[in-house]
Parts: sequence; C-alpha cells; structure tokens
Amino acid sequence: MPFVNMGKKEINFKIVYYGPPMSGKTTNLEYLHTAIPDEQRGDMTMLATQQDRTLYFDFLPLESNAIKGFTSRFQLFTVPGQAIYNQTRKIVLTGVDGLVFVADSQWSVMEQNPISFQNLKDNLATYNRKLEEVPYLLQFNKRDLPDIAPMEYLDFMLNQGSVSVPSFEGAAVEGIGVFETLNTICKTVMAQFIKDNNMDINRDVKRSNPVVEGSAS
Amino acid sequence: MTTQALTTEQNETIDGLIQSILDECNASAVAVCGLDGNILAEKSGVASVADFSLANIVALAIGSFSTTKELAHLIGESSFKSVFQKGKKTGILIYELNDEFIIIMLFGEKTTEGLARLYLKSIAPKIEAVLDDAEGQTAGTAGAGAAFEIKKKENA
Ligand SMILES: Nc1nc2c(ncn2[C@@H]2O[C@H](COP(=O)(O)OP(=O)(O)OP(=O)(O)O)[C@@H](O)[C@H]2O)c(=O)[nH]1
Ligand SMILES: [Mg+2]
Repeated sequence: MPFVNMGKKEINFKIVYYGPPMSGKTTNLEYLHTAIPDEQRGDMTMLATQQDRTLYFDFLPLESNAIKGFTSRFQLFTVPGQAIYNQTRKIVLTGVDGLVFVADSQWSVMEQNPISFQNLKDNLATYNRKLEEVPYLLQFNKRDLPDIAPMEYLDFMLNQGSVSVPSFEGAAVEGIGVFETLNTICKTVMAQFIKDNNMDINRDVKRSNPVVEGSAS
Repeated sequence: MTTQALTTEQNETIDGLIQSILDECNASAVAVCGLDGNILAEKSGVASVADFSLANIVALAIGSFSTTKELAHLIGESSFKSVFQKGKKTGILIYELNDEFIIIMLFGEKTTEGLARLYLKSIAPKIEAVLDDAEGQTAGTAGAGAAFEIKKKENA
C-alpha cells in the first residue's frame, strides 16, 4: 500500500505490470526508460534469462511532484509472464498499489489472456486481496500486428468486472499507448490514495497535468 | 497490515538509528524497507550511492531476501534472520526486522562482519518498536490532515 513519510515529505506507490508471456510488459518499461528525462527516473533493473524473458522482475523508479509539497515516488515493476514463475510473480505483487494488465491482442495467443487474468486474481487472493479493490487498468498491446482481436472483443473478455476499467490500445514497441497507460494508472492510484485519506478531490486528479511526460512531448 | 505512514518524529527516530548503524559499522549505506518495496528510511555515507541507484539496490535486495525466505519455508525454517554477501571489497548484509521489514546495509573494507551483525542485533528492537508504533497509521493520523493536494493544471 502507499507509504507516506511525513518527515521526508515522500509518498511511495508501487505499480505492477502483469499479463501473459511475451505480451510486452518489459517493453513498456523499456520505452519509459528511454523516453523519460533522467531527472525524473532512475536506472532500470532487469532480471532476465539469456533469451530476454523476464526471470524475476524488471524495476524502474520514477519521481514526480504531482502531489503538492511531496515527492511522489512510483516504483514500476513487471512480473514474468511464463507459467513456471508463479512464485516470483506472487512475491512481486506484495503490497501492490496499482496494476496494469498488459494483454496480447493477437488471436494466436488469445487464450493466454484470461489464464493470466485469472492467475492474477488467484495470486491476489493469497494476500486476501480482491482485484476490484486494487486500482487497475488494461492495455491491449501489439495493435500494430495483423491478426489481432478487435478492442471490443478484448474488453468483452477481460473487462467484465463489477466496474469497467479504462482500456488502452498499445503498440509498446513504438511507444504507442505507453504514457497514456502509465499516467492513467498513476492518477488512479493517487485518487485512491486521496480517497482513502478522506479527501474528495478526484476531479482535480483527472484534470491535473500528466504525472510524467516523455522528453519529446 | 503493513505500515502506511511514519510521522515526523518516527522518521527522526529511525533516521537517528540508521545513522548510528552507519557510524558504528562503518557502513556505506543503510536502508530500512518493507518487503513490499517501500523505503522507509535510508542514509548513505558515500556520495556515489545516489538516491535512484539505491532504489535499484533495494528492489534487488528485497527480491533476493524474499526468495531466500521462501527457500527457508520450503526446507522447514521460518526464515533466515540475516543474509550476508561479500565480494572482494564491498558487501551487503540484509537483516530481518519483523515479518515485513528488513535492514539493508552496504559496506566496504572498513566493516567487520561479526561486529556489524552484533550491532544490528542490538539496534533492531529499537527500530521494530517504532514500526510497531506506526502500524496501522494512515497519512491522516500521521499528521497530514488535509494536506494532500494534487497540483492543478498549469497553463502552458
Ligand atoms: N509488434 C509488436 N511487438 C511487441 C510489442 N510489444 C512487445 N513486443 C515484442 O514482444 C516480445 C516480448 O516482449 P516483452 O516486453 O519482453 O514481453 P514480456 O511481457 O515482458 O514477456 P515475459 O517477461 O516473458 O512475460 C519482444 O520481442 C517485443 O519486442 C508491440 O506492441 N508490437
Ligand atoms: Mg518481461
């Protein structure tokens, strides 16, 4: 959960990119790492196999001044999508504040999406948490490829919770949708944080500046 | 439930305690963190350990410690209280506080492992006391009141 240090005027948030194998979770973080100016981000740590598959997690720390008078730190993690690494996925989920579910839009691997989505729910359940109680959103990635499912189909499949969450089109290799996804999850997480602290300024969060921006934009 | 907030006073107390670890153990950096990745307090004696790279070190140390802890469970231990790794010149010592927090200490050639371990053992209960005190504390009860305000859109 978010952690506030009143002495240091710091707030920490943990955001985890989750999803099926090879859906583009690492690619999202890699793009952010190249596009965000140095002052706003740290180094990226990747624990990967020789084939560049995530073995444990990727990590990228970001800093923003989105909340007045505080330094907001967003710690971005990815989990490994491969089924065998469930234990490490579970560890990375500890205390998560916000989730991005990166789905693969390709028909050829479609069945992996609901499997991973269910796995996410199961893993949260081991911490006595429910997905509906964690801020999350969906990114339908690889929109640049042929043979992909329509957005409506993916929404129908994955966005059937009690509340429907935002879903974004992504082509993470080209950076498409990457910042929209990040800024929306950061704002959702901050809004939740403020709500939990009994302050009703969600509207301001929505109208506020992007939390982070690429150096190009 | 994990801690959500530290008050200014609690922050000062922990800062003082980790400063004493830096001094007494000749450590190069010390951090107190949650296994969820939150850094509660951190201090470094060397300028080269910049804020951000410390964040990376902490993320890896937590991953490593969490893995070790799972391993301990698998072989029937409740946990390993501390994990020590040393290279030619530098090393890292991870010390478990209570179930959810650890101390991470980076050190160089001036540090004596045995003494460092003993010192951590003596200081750990004091840090744990602060964390126990802070348990269940929210931003509001830690003194933030209505202090959180999202920056409004600025006209570009
Ligand atoms: N065409 C296309 N390829 C993509 C896109 N995003 C990622 N890829 C490619 O898909 C492959 C897997 O991407 P990763 O980012 O490593 O996937 P991951 O989800 O981190 O995979 P695991 O860590 O194994 O779970 C790489 O070859 C990427 O270049 C995209 O939007 N379009
Ligand atoms: Mg990956």
